[in-house]
Amino acid sequence: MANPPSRDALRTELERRGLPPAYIERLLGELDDHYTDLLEERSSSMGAARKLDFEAGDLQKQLGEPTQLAIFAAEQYRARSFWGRHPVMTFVLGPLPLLLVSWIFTATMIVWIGMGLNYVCEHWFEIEQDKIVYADHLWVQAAFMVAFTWFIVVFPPVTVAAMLCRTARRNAVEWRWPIISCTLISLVAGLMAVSYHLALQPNEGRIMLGVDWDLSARWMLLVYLPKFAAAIAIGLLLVKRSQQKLKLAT
Amino acid sequence: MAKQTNPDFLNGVPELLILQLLARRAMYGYELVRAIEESSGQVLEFGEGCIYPVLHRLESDGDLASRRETVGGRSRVVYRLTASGRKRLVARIAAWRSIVGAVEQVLQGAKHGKPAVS
Repeated sequence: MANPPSRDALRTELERRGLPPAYIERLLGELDDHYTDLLEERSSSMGAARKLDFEAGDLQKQLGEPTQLAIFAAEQYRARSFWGRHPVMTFVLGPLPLLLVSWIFTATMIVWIGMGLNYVCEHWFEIEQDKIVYADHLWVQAAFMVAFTWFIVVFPPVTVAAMLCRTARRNAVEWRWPIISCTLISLVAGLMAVSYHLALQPNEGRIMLGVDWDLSARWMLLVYLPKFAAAIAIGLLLVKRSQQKLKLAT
Repeated sequence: MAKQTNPDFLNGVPELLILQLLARRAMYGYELVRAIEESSGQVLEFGEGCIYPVLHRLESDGDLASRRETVGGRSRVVYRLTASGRKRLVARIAAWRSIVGAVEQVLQGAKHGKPAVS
């Protein structure tokens, strides 16, 4: 089977646009078939092999310029899914509602797990809450609260960011879109604040999760910026990881 | 009722032609391109490679099904229309006819309209 002269150029253009390797292989395979058919058609009508060599450029033109073909293929690939057709809705308007849903889901899960643990302690191990000396278990309480804090503050934004990066990779969406999403998520994640109060008596322990907001330059520089920087660094790492996954697959 | 827009009435032309030609019989890409040229009296010509991304999209939408078959001694990907593709074709033809009718109306109106400056 003959290959079009610009096969490698087309492959590079398709890879540059983030199209998945399986799709690229299939498209190139069918274009090779098509090019072979064009060659056969020419050879049957003209006969001379020298003329065929001379007209390879013409046949390539008939097939389409690699850049134009790659642009069109990427457009058609994106048009397959809602996410590819509507990047603004998915990657600009989508992250914050998704983050909210993710937080509600995580918080609900934690409450259920807590209730489950409470049930197990009371009914299986017959530990009565009134008999626990809370002051003797401050380290356990602190460890639990720190784990909880990390889980509820870090887990939902990272999950949403990773999900959007995956969506971008699978739908050949330009990388600027997940970067915008990660920036939006980081802006909100930077505002998250948690405080907790350890229990010395039953029902005294408290965990408060909320939004911390202050317009002072000191707060911006010392509190918000470090949190935002950490969040955006994680987001950009996720984007980078998605890009590497695509390259590895190629 | 909300008005339906038709932003892709020109972009949708290759799709309409592909669906219509595949409704007649199953074909592979090269055959389809030749069929479009012949059916349109050589008027409709385009970068022939562009047909494959459209075929792949229609296949992923469930309007076409493909299978590798040996045709003329060579292995080729042959496309055929599905039931969903037939429905889409009917909808596309209706949309196309309404657009053509609307454009025709405008052109006829222009013939009878008064000039802006006399």
